[in-house]
Amino acid sequence: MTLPIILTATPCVFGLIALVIRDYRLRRAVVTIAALIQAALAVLLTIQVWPSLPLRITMQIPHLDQFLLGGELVLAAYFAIRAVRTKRLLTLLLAIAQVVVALVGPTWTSGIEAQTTIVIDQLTILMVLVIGIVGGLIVIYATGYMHTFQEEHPEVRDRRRTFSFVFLVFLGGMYGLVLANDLRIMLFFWEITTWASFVLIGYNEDKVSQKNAFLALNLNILGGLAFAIGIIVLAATAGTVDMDKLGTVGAAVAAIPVACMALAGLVKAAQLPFTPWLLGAMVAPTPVSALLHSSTMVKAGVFLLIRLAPVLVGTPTGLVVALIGILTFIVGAFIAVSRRNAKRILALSTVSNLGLIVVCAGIGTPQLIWAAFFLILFHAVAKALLFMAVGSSSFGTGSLDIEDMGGLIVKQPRIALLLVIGIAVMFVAPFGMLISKWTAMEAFINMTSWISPVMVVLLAFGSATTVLFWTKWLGLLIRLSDPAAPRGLLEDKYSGAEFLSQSSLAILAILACVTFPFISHYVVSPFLLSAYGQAFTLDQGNVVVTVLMVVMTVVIPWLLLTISRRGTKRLSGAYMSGRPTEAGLVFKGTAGVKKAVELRSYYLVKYFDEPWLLRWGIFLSIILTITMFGTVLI
Amino acid sequence: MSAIEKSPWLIHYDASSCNGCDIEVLACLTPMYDAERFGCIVTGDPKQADIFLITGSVNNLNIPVVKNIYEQMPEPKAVVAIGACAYSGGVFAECYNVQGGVAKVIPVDVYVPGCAAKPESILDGVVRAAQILAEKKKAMRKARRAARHAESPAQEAAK
Amino acid sequence: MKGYELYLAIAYLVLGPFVGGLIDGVSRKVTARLQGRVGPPIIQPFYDLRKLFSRKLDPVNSLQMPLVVSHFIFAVATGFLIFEGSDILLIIFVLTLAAIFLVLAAYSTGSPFSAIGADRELIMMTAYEPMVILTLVGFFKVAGSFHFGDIAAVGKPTILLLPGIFLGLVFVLIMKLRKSPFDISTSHHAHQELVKGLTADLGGPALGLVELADWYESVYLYGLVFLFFSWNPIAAVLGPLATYFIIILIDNVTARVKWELALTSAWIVAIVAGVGNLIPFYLIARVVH
Ligand code: SF4
Repeated sequence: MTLPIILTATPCVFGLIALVIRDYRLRRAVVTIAALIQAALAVLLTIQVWPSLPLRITMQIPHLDQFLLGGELVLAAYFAIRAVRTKRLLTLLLAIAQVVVALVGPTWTSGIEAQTTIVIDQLTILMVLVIGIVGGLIVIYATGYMHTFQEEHPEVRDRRRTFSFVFLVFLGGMYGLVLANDLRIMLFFWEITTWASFVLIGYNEDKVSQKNAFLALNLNILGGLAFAIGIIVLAATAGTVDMDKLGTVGAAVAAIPVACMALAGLVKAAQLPFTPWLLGAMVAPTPVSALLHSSTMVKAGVFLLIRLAPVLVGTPTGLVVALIGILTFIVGAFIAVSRRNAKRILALSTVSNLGLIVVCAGIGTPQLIWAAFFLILFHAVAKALLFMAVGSSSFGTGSLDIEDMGGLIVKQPRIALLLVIGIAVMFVAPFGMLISKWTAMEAFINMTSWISPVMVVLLAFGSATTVLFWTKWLGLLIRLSDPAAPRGLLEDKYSGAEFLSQSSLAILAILACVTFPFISHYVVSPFLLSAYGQAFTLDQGNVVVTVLMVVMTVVIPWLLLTISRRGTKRLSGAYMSGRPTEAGLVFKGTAGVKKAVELRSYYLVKYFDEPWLLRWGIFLSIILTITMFGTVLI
Repeated sequence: MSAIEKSPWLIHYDASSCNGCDIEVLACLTPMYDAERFGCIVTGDPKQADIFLITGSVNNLNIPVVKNIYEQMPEPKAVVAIGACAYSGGVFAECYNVQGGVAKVIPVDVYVPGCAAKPESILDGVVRAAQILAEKKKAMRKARRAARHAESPAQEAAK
Repeated sequence: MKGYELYLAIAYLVLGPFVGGLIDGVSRKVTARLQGRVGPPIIQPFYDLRKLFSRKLDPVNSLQMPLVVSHFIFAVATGFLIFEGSDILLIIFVLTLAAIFLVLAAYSTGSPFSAIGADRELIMMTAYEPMVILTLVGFFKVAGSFHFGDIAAVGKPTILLLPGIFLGLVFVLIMKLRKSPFDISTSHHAHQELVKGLTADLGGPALGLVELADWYESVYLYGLVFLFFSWNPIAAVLGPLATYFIIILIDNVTARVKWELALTSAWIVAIVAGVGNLIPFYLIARVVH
């Protein structure tokens, strides 16, 4: 059973190869092949282990301790050197703390062997497929993107070899992380993702990138420290380092390690108060954002929390995690209303959706884990698509402002269509995300605990604002001020690699929406059955309704659109208060001056003010975090 | 009775009148005259309007607007020119900058006399215009049928 | 599904336009009488609709009509699914979808009047959605179900258990029906500052479809009002009727508000009346436990 190891190693090996290839074309070919191979391996692994899920593999890895210690030290040393070079004391101290923990850790963990090294269940499979396919497509996209990026930004030092290397290792790290059951191995890969994200966020090497990269690094080292301490405490008190043993050691013993690991998960998942690192990460080139937001990094955080969910159920820690999640959900959604930068809106929507997943994990009933499963799936696919499309669009329009995307359906019809699909999957009624939201809502309403009304109310208000900012964006995309204008004027920089990877994701997204009942039946239900002993299935009638709706939402507008295209109808001009206009709504103003109509959307900044919301969100969440540790320690 | 006659929706435009006639147009909507009992709605939107109520002598700057409103109204449509100004330019007829009558810019179906026109006569004008609309609709239908008939023998011949 | 629910849903499909048109017609007549006018005949809305469909209008672009037709289909489907006994909580999200299609149709034209109307409609959606969801939560707390038939057959005086929720629902109903003071996106009354706002670029059959969709919507929205009074046959008739007249009255005696007040007031009402009404249910549940 070496496939998991091969899967983890493949991207890393190809990354090393890419690092040494100087020729751009060759490297591009190698990276593309690497992306395809690792995706194929992910699928292969799925097929191979499918009949025997959940699969447990025990391996004797010689010198595992030394190897892990070495790895940790190398990473810490790298961080320390970077900190010293840029004179950042905090990072240095954190790196030193990391070294200390890494060195003293083995005193407690030595002699303890993991019973099971690798556990593969449906959740692992979901993650593996997301990493392999979505991550792979982002890698392919990045080859096209980075080429244009370097042309457009000559001021940025060309470090594309490092970029490809880190990018691929990132995927390898993620594989390791989701496959490992031995917490020490998991921690090692955890730190690998921290390192990779640090390098990628700082890619542009300017001041802002450096600052944000170090912010991400600081917080993630902190999370890693919490993780390490959690493992040490677990080993010292319960004598185990197995992830799946957490549930068996008893609630009292598990309390502290679980709280520590939950904290690590919250950091990675960019929950409040740690959200700023992910918001800052958008300075990086778009493929990095796509990767961080969809298949890696933040998904590692929620993956860990879902793994912890069975232990979190009904505990104060679980409660606090859920409260932090819902707080992040609503704060993210609210802030997104007031933002114009497309990447920032996407980032805030990620934060918000992850918040919802965290709520699901924190409360941890089977129904909510069901919802979390689908949230991860749909969010990964749709968010990767959206980030990639936004990045491609910005090459043509030269802007990331959504106001500049007005009428994109004419200027960049292909990109606009992909954006519409992505946005639809993110929030429109019958599609994936909404199903999960609805399931979560129903679960909240069914609970009797006092947090039920809190969750219900905040979810209701949060999703209402979600509709606001997505629809506003959709409306901008499809604005046709000049129906007769030539199509695709701003699309010439759109490379084939970009279009291919994005349209594959769009197809995947729609497929996932249509086939979700099967995914539920064959993937999620067995998982819940084995993890919780009880399954959750959607009511038959509701499944029929949703699938019908999905089909209707896709088919009806498309059908009508073809019909209306066929009919050679005369078009009438838009209503302009009786003013005659020329193409593109240009009208004659005072003194014969010609003016084009300019439209701006509402951003409601007065009510959804970012600094204010963020400040209070962070304040409340810090109090919640302190409460969590307070209750656990007492 | 045709549907259009029972729900004539109006658009009202002031093409440089003295405002006298416009006040009378608005008076039609008051409880005293209650234009809505005939199914009238003042929409303000040419795309939803059936009858174009226009006052004033139409100065040169108004021309494109008047034409645009008229063009944006769907067929069949009727124009009611209200007041002496809209008929001939009225007291403004001698001005250097006016057209002197709506008919110089767009075809007019009904003239409502007066300076200012009385609300009663304006309402009467609207009702007349509604009847004209119904006739136009009928004529359109007939023309369409005739066109279809003219087409089908030709198609048969082609076969 | 209970046997009669399918019949109810089919009746809604067939009779919905007639009931909805009458709701509209009566409200126009009552409004006229309140203002001391004679007013149009009660069946005036049907004349209007017939006329609208008899007209031809060139659309502004090729997207507009598909979006309007989608709006119509989903608005009708929402009501059908509610009466047919589907999970209302799920269906409410479909309702949002219908509204989104209309907003997009307006955005697509590029006309500033349509666009601002669409913006305002969107803000209204944000304003009323939380309260709609809280209403359903209230129904669930009373009836333990999200199905129309179950809630209707609960046999408890729902209105007495959910007075706050009822108040909140009436509040957002005014928004949903675009009645004054919340007719900010488009208005039934003449001469609003955005001309016709949301529907400025719709005429003829397109406007007719929107109108028809509104009628269907008003039927199932009053269906939700009916659920508060379903325990008693007399109340079941009088309750929705009284609500209907109160809404007409409010429409006539209030002036249009700005979007800011619409948004904030709706959210405050949702929190104070809606959440305030729900809290006792949780307290009682805890005591029972
Ligand atoms: S007809 Fe008389 S009242 Fe009417 S606009 Fe002309 S001058 Fe004024």
